[in-house]
Amino acid sequence: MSEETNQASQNSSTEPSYLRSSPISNLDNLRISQQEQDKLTDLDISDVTMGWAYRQTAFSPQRRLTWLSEQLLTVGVALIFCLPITLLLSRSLSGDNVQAVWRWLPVGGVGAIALTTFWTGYRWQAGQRLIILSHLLDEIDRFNEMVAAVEILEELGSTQNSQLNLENKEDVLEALHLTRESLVCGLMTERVMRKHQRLMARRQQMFSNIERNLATLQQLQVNDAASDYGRLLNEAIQIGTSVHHELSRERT
Amino acid sequence: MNHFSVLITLLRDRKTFLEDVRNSVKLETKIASLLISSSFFFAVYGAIIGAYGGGLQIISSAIKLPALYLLTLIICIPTLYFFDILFGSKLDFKQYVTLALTAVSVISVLLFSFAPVVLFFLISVKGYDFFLLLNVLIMAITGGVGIKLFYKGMRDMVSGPEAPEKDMRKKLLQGWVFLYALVGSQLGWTLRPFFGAEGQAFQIFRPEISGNFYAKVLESVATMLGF
Repeated sequence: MSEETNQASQNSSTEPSYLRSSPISNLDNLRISQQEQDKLTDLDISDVTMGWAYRQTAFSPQRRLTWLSEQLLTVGVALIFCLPITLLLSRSLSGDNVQAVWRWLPVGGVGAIALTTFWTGYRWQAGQRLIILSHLLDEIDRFNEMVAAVEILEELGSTQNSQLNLENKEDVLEALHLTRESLVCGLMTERVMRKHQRLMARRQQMFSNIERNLATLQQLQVNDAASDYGRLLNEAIQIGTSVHHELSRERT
Repeated sequence: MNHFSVLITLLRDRKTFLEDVRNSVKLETKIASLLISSSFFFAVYGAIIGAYGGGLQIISSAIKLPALYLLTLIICIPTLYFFDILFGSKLDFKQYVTLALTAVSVISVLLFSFAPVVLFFLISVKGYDFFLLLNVLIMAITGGVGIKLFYKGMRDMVSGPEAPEKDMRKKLLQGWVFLYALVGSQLGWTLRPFFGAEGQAFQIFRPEISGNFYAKVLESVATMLGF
């Protein structure tokens, strides 16, 4: 009896923290928040941007509205600068000739549109340079969606006396934890590579972390691939593989 | 990036915001967001004062009012920056721009908060001089608050025992605030009309450039008092 208790206490002390406390609160901790993304990338991350640069998903149909509103605001600000400057210049050059000022005003409008187009082009090009980060952020979005799905399943399980398998649940939590770790490592590696091209000492260690996590993920047995948890586990492996793939590409 | 949330952060937690500026945390994003959100609020207020003249004057004032504040800033900020670094400032240009935009954004929000009051007087009182003086008063109050906050922010930034030429830079800042008001009022005079005139055709600008802003305000006061 005492041996069993010892064994249990030993197990509980070696268990990762995310398996010990309440699952729902753990899931909250697992989610990679906006602030965390900002901190890890050292950029301001939003649905469509990474700092100044556009994310690849910025032009996707779901985010077109956000992108369009951003463009409208930019054109608005450009007009606010271009039109009055054109007014002041044309007024000064034409000697207060009202007709001449009206003739020159469209130039201000065209200037504002040209400025916006140039600015958008610059941001798109900056996005092309950060393509790996963009892919990693897409994976983070996918991961956060997965965490939300697990949260919903947890809630459903607790209210409907579901027959969801506890062992599988632990596997999923472990998978999520490992995926999170890989994503965080991925972001950190990307930032290190982006900021300090020559300072690559930590990269090797992080990369081996990601490889180890992926191997562990692949070793997790999915008992019932058709179940919700099984599917989530598979998705975690897919994300892990994507992170590994992106960073392998960067490494080569 | 959500531009308006940056402004809300500034209004709610100015201390943290200024701390971020001091540590150069995401200044580019802050500059873009403050620029966009202040332009929006100025444009709304501009459209309301332009409604006095109606028609094209609404669009014209919605563009001219943000331009008035932001162009004045662009004209004046290099003076502050170069003089300040000459007297030992360690802040960079982006930090100056962010700080100045902070003041302008506060002014824009305060003006926006006065919008219902102006709208009420626009509907209930028909008098050009009254409407002009009311807006001059509102702009003076909001400008005063905004500049005071900018002044305080700059003073906090340069304070500390290690701050070089502190007194000189304080005087420099006071002088710059005066310069900003001077340039702003003259630019406003050049860009007018902002209200338009009742029953008159829309004018994109007033051809007579003679006179100045202060003379016009005194003239309006005199007219209102019956002189």
